Amino acid sequence: MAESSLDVAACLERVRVRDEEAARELVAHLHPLVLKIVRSHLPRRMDEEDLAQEVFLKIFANLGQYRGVVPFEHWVSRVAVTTCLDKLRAQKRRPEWRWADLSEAEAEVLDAVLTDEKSPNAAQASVAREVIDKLLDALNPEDRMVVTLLDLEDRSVAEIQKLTGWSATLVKVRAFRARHKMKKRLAQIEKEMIYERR
Amino acid sequence: MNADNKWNRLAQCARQAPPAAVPDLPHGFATRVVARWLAGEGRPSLWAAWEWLSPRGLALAAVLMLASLGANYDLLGGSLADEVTAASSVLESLLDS
Repeated sequence: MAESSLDVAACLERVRVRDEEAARELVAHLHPLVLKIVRSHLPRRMDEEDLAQEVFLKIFANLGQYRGVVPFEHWVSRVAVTTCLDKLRAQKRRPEWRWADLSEAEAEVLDAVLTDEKSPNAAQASVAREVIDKLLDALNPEDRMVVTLLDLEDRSVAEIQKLTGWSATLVKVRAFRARHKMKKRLAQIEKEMIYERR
Repeated sequence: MNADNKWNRLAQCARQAPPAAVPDLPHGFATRVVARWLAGEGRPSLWAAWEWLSPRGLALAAVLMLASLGANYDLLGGSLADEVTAASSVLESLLDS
């Protein structure tokens, strides 16, 4: 979340009359928030700075639509999520990673999860996130978005509704479908793991 | 262990990953963004609207075409049968003469 002590309302007034200094201040203020969202939903082979720039351009271009009904940061989050979703949709390939494609560290984490012999430790959390990112690559953009928000960022259905504009039912249906695909994919990878160890 | 547990364990472990540190604003980033904004970038363009509209328009046209073909199937089949009958009678009269 943005932490600098900027008078957002006053700054927005100045940006609306195309004040460059105010626009730069607004970018600096919102940069941590935008970057956090961009990183969570970054398509493969896309530079996070490029995507962050696109988000800011959309924010400025659509500033006239912001009526002040919700906090500005909420509106910015929604613009950022929508922009990321558009970029994910533009990504044509959705590779399905296999057991053999995983690195040694990733295979170790997945082994711990799948065999239940030992729990993955906290130090392996970043690797687990990388494994999940690879599994998410095979999902369509909407399913990927809902799993990331719900299962990785621990957001509520109501929060996801606000961020995406989807109904609660749609969020739940997409979550159910996406989780089902993830579980199926994990089962497939487990079969590959067992086959490889024979 | 069932599939639910495996997914939940993996997700739970991934949630413990420390958030990556947000770097300071890259040098010149704000200036670049503001310059692009002032140059008019980021506004919805006609091309973007066309890109959005054209596949949907094509899909709608295809659906309408199939629906109209379906609705007029009997008529199309009937008219074709009439044409075949007419052609046969012409051929027969030619062969007879």
